[in-house]
Order: sequence, then C-alpha cells, then structure tokens
Amino acid sequence: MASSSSNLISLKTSDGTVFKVERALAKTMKTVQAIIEEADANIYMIPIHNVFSHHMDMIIDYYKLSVAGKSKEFSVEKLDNDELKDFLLAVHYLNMEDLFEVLTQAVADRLEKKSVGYVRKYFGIENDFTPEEYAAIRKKNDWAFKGDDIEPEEDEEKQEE
Amino acid sequence: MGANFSSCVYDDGDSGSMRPRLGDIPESCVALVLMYLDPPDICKLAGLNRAFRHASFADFVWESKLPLNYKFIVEKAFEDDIGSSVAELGKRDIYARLCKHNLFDNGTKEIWLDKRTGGVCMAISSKALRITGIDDRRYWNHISTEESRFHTVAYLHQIWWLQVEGDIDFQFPQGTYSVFFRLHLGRSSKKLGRRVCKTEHIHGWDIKPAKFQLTTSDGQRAVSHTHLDSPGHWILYHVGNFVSKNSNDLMNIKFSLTQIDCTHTKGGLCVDSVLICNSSDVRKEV
Repeated sequence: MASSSSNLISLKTSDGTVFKVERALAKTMKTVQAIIEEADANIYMIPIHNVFSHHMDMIIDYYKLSVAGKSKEFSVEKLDNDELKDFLLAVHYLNMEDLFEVLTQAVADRLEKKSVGYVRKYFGIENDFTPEEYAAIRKKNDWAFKGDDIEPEEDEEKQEE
Repeated sequence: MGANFSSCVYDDGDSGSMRPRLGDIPESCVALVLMYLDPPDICKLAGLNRAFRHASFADFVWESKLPLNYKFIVEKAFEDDIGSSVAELGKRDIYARLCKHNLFDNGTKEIWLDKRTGGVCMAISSKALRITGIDDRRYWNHISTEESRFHTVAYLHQIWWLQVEGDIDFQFPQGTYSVFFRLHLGRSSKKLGRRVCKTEHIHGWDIKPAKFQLTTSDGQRAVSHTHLDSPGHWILYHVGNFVSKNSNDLMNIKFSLTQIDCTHTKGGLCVDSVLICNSSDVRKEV
C-alpha cells in the first residue's frame, strides 16, 4: 500500500481540474483505491478518466451528506436525462457502490411506467431488433400485461433508425 | 457489485466529444437498473434493445422479485401438474408461471402472484369448504356458472343453520393478508345473452347480520358482523386480516361464515369462494 503522510488524495478529472479529497472519500471509490494500492511509490495525482469536475462536485456533495447521515437528502432531480446518464457512468467507472445504487434507482424512477418509444427517444437507445424479433419479444412478454387495463404501449419507432 | 468497469472506458482524447448514451451502458449496469423496476416494466423494456433484453433475463433480477419462499409455492402451485419440470426454468420463467392462475389440490384451490408486486393471492373453491347440509338438496346444491373462477358455486335455497367453514395450511410470505368470502345474493343465469338474476329465494339477511370469522394457528383472530345485501352483485365480504411473520412458517388459517339464529330462515345465497391476498394488493373484484 502506497504510504502517504497526507490525508488528502489528489484526483485529476478529465477536464483537467484537480480535487484534493479526503482519504476516506477516495476509499469509497474502489477504482481509485485499487490504483493507490498497486502503486509502488507515493502517488501525487491520480487521473480519473471519464469523470468531469461537475461530477466530482456532486460526488463530494453526496459524501458530505452521507457522513452527516443525510444521504437521503441527496437529489439528482435537477439533472436532465443526459446528465444523469453521464453521472451514472462516471460513478460506475469509479466503482462507488452506495452512490451507484442511488443513481440506478434514479434512472429506474425515470424509466418507470414509460413507453418503449419514450425511453428510446429520451435516452437515445437504438433499436437493434428486426421487426420480427421485436414482435416475438412482445409476444413472449405478454403474460406481464394480460388482464391489465393498460396494454404495453405501441412503439411507433419499430423501424431501424 | 462486481461490475466490469473496464467495458465502459472510452478514448481519453475524445472525452469531450463522445456523449455516452444509456444504450452504451454495460449490461451489468442495465440489469441493476432493472432490479428497481416492477416486472411489467422489466418485460416491457426488454424490447428496447439486445442489451436490455439480455439483462431482463438475469436470474438475480427475478430472484429479487420472487417471494422468499418461492420454492415452497412452486411445489404447491404445480402439484397437480405432473408433467411440469419447473426445476429447469430460469427465475424469470418461474415468476411468469407463478403469475398464472395455478389450480392445485385437485382443482379446488388456485394460487397466483400479483405480477406487479409478487404478492401471493389464493382462492379456495366452495368445493373445498365444509358446508353444513351441503348434501341435502332441500337446502343446497352446486350450480355451474361462468361467474366463478372454479365454474361452480354452492347455492342455498333456504336453511335455518348457515355454516360455511374452511381452512388452509400454507407458508405465506411475510406480510399482512386479507381474507374475503365472495358471495352473491340471488341466482344469476344468461337468457338470450343477457344476465338475469333470480331473486325469489332471497330472504332473511336483513334480520340479523352474518358472522365472519378467522383464526390462525398462532392465535390471531378476527371477527366481523355484516348484513349481506346488494342482490345481483358479487361482493367480497372482508372477514379480517392476519399477519405472517416468517415466510418459512407453516400456518393454518381457518375461516367461517355463519348465521345460526334459528328464529328465522335465510336463503337465495351463492357461495363462490374464499379469497386470501396480500393486503397491499387488495382490489375490488366484480
């Protein structure tokens, strides 16, 4: 384990900003922790790819709230869908378990009860099924909708984009 | 978590220009998102793309939706189905099968999961109930009807002593359950495609209320006194609730409907079934 007398770890984001964070916070990032442990000598600066400074701001916010026992107050409501996706990927890269769970729940909340067409459009997901494959999937999943008033929504964008 | 982060690293130089989309999120991530959705949403989103479809089959996603004691429930639900080999099914297919209305105990009972919540629901046919005087055609007979999920109900012409009882041994997943008797005043049939209800036998229900009772093997009790009414409509009469503290505890639930005031007769009643379902899934059945 790289020994450092400092309690702060320097992390450099993709947009070149350096954040000095507490060792305890760096410990919640399993990716960073692995880098520290593999290093032979002191590490002065750890580059974190795919993570931007606005992500680090939110990560630090979350950390401060959870240390104060107020992690439930953390909200990503103000993020639009693209920003939420970016953030989810950044946290996924850093391998931060608790925050990752919070974000997957947030994404799930945005997907809940929405039609396939809506999800495709707003999350930019390409349909890689042939029309026949899609029809077969809908049929196979029929059981989940039988007896409901609400039928699975028709997807107008079935054709290849 | 064990997510393979290495699969979502992209070019360093391009980090500004390449915006990741949800479609680029690794499958392991997708499956974790799906875990937070309810089964119908998971099945719907399986149609998004291949990654979602594959993730929607992940066993761990469905394991979290199945009741804790699903193996016991599977054994009961498919006991009448000798040819069934449930053991080889993935968890998703097990969930789907359990959401179907599965007849068991020689077709006298039905069990299913609420597909949205995974809550256990059970119906017990009039054929599985102990009805005093059921063999005496002056009082009771069984009639066929499409208005019962069991296609048969017990019809009461007239009696002094109304006593309908039943019980069930089961391991109910932890939670609170409501018990109902599904009853109908009057005898309905179809004439020229229209529903017609014969009401001439209906009498005696407004004099004294009927008593609904439930007891459990661990000492819980509930009683309610209710006048039967609304001729021509199927009504779910609430007996009461019970709590299952542990999914692995075998409980015996006893329930009864009685009206034994012998100063008056009563009649014109159809007894369809007893319904037991998770209290949070209670819906009015017509």
